[in-house]
Amino acid sequence: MQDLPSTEPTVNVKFVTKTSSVPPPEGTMAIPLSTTRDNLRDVLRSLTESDATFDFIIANEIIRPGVSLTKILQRKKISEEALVEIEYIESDLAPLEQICECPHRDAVTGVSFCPQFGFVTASFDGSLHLWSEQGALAFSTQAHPMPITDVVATTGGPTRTVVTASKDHTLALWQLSRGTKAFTKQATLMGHTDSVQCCALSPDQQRLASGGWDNAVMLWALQGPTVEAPSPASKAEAEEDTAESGVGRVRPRDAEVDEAGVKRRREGQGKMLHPLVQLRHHRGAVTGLHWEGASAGAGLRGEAPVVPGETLWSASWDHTLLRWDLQAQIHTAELTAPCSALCMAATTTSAPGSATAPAPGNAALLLTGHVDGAARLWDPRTQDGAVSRPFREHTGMVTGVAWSPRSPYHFSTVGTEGLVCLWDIRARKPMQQHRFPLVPPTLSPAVEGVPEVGETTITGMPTNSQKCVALVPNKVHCCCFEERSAPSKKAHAGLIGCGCDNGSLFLFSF
Amino acid sequence: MEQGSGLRTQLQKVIDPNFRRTVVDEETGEETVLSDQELDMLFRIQEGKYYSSNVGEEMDLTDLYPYDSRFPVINLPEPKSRFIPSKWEAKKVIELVRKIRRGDYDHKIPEKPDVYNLWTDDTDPAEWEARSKRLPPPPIKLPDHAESYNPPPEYLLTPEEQKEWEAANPYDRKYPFLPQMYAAMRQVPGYKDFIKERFQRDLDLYLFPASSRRSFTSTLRICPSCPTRRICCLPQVMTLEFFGHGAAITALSVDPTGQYIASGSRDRTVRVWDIPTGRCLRLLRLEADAEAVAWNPVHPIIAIAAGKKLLLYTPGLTEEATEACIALVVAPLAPGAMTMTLQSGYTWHRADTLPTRDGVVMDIAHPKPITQLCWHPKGDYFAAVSSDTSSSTVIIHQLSRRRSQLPFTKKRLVMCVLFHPTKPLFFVASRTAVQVFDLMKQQLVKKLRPSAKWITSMALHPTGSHLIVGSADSRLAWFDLEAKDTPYKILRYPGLALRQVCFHQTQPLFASGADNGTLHVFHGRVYTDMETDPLLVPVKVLRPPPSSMVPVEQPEEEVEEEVDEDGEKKAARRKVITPDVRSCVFHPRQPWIFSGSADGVIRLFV
Repeated sequence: MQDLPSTEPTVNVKFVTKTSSVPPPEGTMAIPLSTTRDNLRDVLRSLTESDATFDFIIANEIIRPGVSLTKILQRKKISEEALVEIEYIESDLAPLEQICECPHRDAVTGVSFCPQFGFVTASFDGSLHLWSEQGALAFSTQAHPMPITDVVATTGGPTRTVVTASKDHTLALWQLSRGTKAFTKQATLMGHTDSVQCCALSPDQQRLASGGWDNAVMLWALQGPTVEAPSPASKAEAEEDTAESGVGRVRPRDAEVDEAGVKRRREGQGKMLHPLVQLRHHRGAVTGLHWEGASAGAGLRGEAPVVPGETLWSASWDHTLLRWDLQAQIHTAELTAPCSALCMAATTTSAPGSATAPAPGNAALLLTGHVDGAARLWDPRTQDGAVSRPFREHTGMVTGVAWSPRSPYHFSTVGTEGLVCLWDIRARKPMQQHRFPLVPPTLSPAVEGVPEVGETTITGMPTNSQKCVALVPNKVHCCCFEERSAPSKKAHAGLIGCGCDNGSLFLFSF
Repeated sequence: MEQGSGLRTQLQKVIDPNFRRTVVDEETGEETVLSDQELDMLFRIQEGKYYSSNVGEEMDLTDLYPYDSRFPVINLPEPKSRFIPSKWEAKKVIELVRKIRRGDYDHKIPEKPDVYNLWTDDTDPAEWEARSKRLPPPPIKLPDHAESYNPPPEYLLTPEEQKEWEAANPYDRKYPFLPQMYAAMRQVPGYKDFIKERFQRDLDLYLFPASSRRSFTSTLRICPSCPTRRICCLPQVMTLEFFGHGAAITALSVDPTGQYIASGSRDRTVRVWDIPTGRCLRLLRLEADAEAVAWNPVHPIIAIAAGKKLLLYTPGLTEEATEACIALVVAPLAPGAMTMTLQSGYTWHRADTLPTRDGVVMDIAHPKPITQLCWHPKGDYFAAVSSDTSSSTVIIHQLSRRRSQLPFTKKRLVMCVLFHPTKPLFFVASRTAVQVFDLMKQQLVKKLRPSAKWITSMALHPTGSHLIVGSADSRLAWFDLEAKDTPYKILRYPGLALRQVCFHQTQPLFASGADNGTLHVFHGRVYTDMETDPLLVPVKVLRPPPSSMVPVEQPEEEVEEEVDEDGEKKAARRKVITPDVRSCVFHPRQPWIFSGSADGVIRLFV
C-alpha cells in the first residue's frame, strides 16, 4: 500500500463484494478523501493481489472516474467520520467497438436479434431483411407498402416467427425456417384503424400485443385454434365493398384493372387474423408494450386468450403508462410521466440482492425513453412513479431503449442526435457512449423516385442569404441488445444493434 | 364659649342675644362678637362686592364704543344669500331624499362620545407609525482630541502647518479651527464660530430627506399570479430536427391526428414528414415556391399554394382514405351543382390520370400568386388569399361542390384570413385592421384595430371567442371578440418582427415566432364565465441550441477589427446566426411546437 501523507483528511472504509470472486480484504482502512476511482483500483489490486479491473459502488451509485470521495460523501450525505462500505464489482464493460455495418436502402426502424439465424431488420421503405451474424445479407423482401415501425422475432425452435408492424395499419406474420433462411408470409393482422407503432411477444411466444395510433392495444394469437382464415361471409363482404366503391367512384378506364389489383392484393396477404382483445383507454398513440409473465404453473388453457394473472404494460404519447389486467380487460394501474414515451423495455432477470433490482417473481423494472431526451426507470410495484432520477445524456428524443437480457443493471439507449449510450442503472452517467458522425441528409429512395412536375430547375438559394444545413446528425431509430458468451472471460460481453437514419445498421460489441 | 353639648348650644341660642353674631376662633377658642360694620363687610364679600361700602359704589363706567343693537358693527347691506334658499342645502336634502328612497339612509345619528380623552393622540396610528419610521437625522460628529482645550501636543499645529492651514481654502482644511492649548478651562475664550456652525447644522437637517423612498421589496408584487401546476405542460427543449429542405420554409401544417406534418418551402417542394421518426415520407416537386400549405381538418388532403396554382394533394398515406378523397374531389357532381361552377372564372382542373402517381388530384388556377390558404374547420370550404389589391384577393372554394366564389366586390389588400370554428364568421386582416364579416348575412360585423402598422398573421382561440394578431412592428394584440373593438392586451417585443402567431388546440398555450429565431410561448387561459379576464403569462422563450445552427462566416470588416485587437486568433472565429422563424405551429394533441426556419430546418420543441 502506498504511503499516505499524514496531513490529509481521511475516511475509514471497508471493502465488501457480492458478486466478485476476489475475496474482500479484511478489516477497515483509512483512505484520503481525495481518492478517486483509479486510486481505489490500485489500492484494491495491491490488497487482493489480483489483476482484475474493479468498479466501486457507494450507496448504490457507481463512482465515476475523476470524482473524489469528498464529493460523493457530500452528495450522499454520509459523514466523513462514519465507516463507509465500498462495494466493488469486477468491471466487465469493454469499450464499444463497431464490428460491422449493414447498409440498407432506407433508414432502419426496427432490429431484432434472432439467435442462430442472425438478426432481422426492418426498414423505413417497408422492406424486411435477414442478416447473418457476420453482417452478410441473407434474405430481403418487401413486406409492407408503408414504413415498418417495429419488428420482433421469437426465440428458440427450428422455425421462427417474425412480426412486423407497419404504418399501413397492419401487422404481418412471417415464418423463418432454418433450411431456406427466407421469410414466408403467414398472415396479415388486420384490426388497427391507424398506424401500428409497436408490438411485443408474450413470454410464452404464443400471443402478440400491438399498439398504435388509434390509441388501442390489441392482442393476437399467433398459433393454435384461434388462427383463422377470413370467413366466407367477411370475404364476400370485402368483395361487395370493393364493388360498391368501384361503382360509387366511377373510375375512368382503369377501374377494372384497379379492382383486380385490389383483389390480388387481398389475396396476396394470405390469411387474415383479427384481434382477440382490444384494450382502449389511452388518449394518445401507444408506443411501448411489455408483458409481465404469469406465475410459474399457469399456461394457456383451451381457447382462453390469456393466461390468468398475466398483465401487460403499455406506454403512450398521453404521458401515461398503464397496466392491463388481460383477463378482465381493464387497466389496473397508471403511472404518469412528465412527457410522452417513445419506447419501453423491461428487465428480464432479477438482480442478486440489490436494493434497486426487481424482486423475485414477475415484478420487473420498466424503462421508458421519452421525447425530452430522458430515459426513466419505473418500479411497477409503486403507485406513483419513477424509481430514480431520469437518466439524461441525450439531447434529442430517446427513440430506443433495450435492456440487457442477462444483466439486470445494464441497458442501452439511442437518440435522434446520433448517440448510443450504454448505462448501468447504478451510475449517473453512461458507462460507454458512441456518437455517430454527421451525414448528409438522405431521402428515402421511394420518395426520391417521384417524377418531377414540369420544370425542375431549383433556383438554388432563396432570397435570404442564410445557409442551409449540409451535414446533419445521423438519427438512430432503434436499438437491440444481445448478450453473447464471448470467448473471453467477460461475463457481460454482448452486442448492441443500432438502426440509423442513413440506412446503416451498426453492430457494436463490448 | 366652649363647644359643649347640643343642649348647651340651644340654651345659649335662647339666652344670648349676640349668639348669631358670635364666631369662635378655632385656634384659640376665643369667642368674638362681630360688630355691625364687620358683618356688613362679610355680607358684601359674600355677595361678591367690594368689601368697603364707601369705595366705588357710585363709580360710573361709560362705554368707549356706544353700541346700538339696532345697527350692526359693519354697516354693509345684508348679502343676497341670506334671502335665497341655499343651493348646497338643497343638494344635501336631495341626496338624503334619494338615500331614503333607495332605502340605504341610515337613520341613526352617529353618536359622539360624551366624554373624550383630551390628552390622547388623535393622529391615525398608521400615520404615526409612518412618522416614526422617519430616517434618523445625520449624526453630529463627536469632538476630537484636537478640539480639547488642552489637546495632546501631537495635535497642535507647528508654525509651518499653521501657515499652511491659513493659506488653505476653508473647505480643504483638515480642521475647521486651530487646535489651541489653554492652561485652564476658565481661560478658554468664547467660540466665535458658534452661530455659524449652528446655522450649518440646521441647513444640513433642512436639506436632509425626511423619509426613505418607496422601493419594491419583492418582484412578486408586479408579476401576475401564475398557475404553476397547470403551466408545467409547455414546450421546453428542442429534441428533433427535420432536415431536407434546401431553402427557407414558408408554411407548416400538422395532420389532425398529430402523426404527420406537411411543410412548404422556397426550394419548390412540399414534404410530408413522419413526426415520431423525423423522416420525410412524401416529396412533391412544384413549379413554383410553395407559399402556403394547409392540411384539411377532416380528409387527408393538403391544399398547396404554388405560385398561381392551388393544388389539392393527397399524400397517399393510407389507401382507403386516399381512395375516399379522390372520390370526393374527382367524382362528377350532380347536374344542379354543375351550373354553379360556371359562375366564377376559376376552373378546377382534374389531374389527367387517376389516381395520379404524385398524388395531386386537382389544381385551380388563380389570376395572381397565392400567399395564404385556410380551411374551414368542417373541411369543406377553404379560402385563398392572393397578393394583389383587387376584388379577387380573397377567393373561397368549396370542395364538395367544386365551385369558387369571390366574397368581396371591393378592392382591398388582405394579409390573411380566418374562418370562425363554429359561427359563420370570416376574419379578414388588412394591413392595419381586422374586419369580421358574417357570411350568412353578408355584412360587416366588427372592425378590430390592433394599432399595428403591418399585420402578418392572426390566430383564433379554439373557442372562437378570442383572437390574437401578430404584426411586423413588434406587437401582438389579444382581442376579446365579445368585448371591445380595441385589444384587451398588447404584448410588445422591442425590435422584433413577428412572423406567425398560433394557438394550441387543447392546452392553454399560444406562441409567436419572431425574426431573430426565437419562439415566445405564453400561457393564455380563457375563463368560461364572462366576468374573469383572460390570464396571459409569458412563460418561455425558445431558441434552438447553438449546436443545431449553421455557423456563418463573419463579415470581413468585423473580422479585421477583431484582428487588430487580439491578433490572429479571432480571425478564424465563426459566428452563429440564429435563422429566422418563418412559420410556427403547435402539435394538435401534445404541448409541442414546430418552428420552420429560414435555413430549411423544421425544429420540434417538446
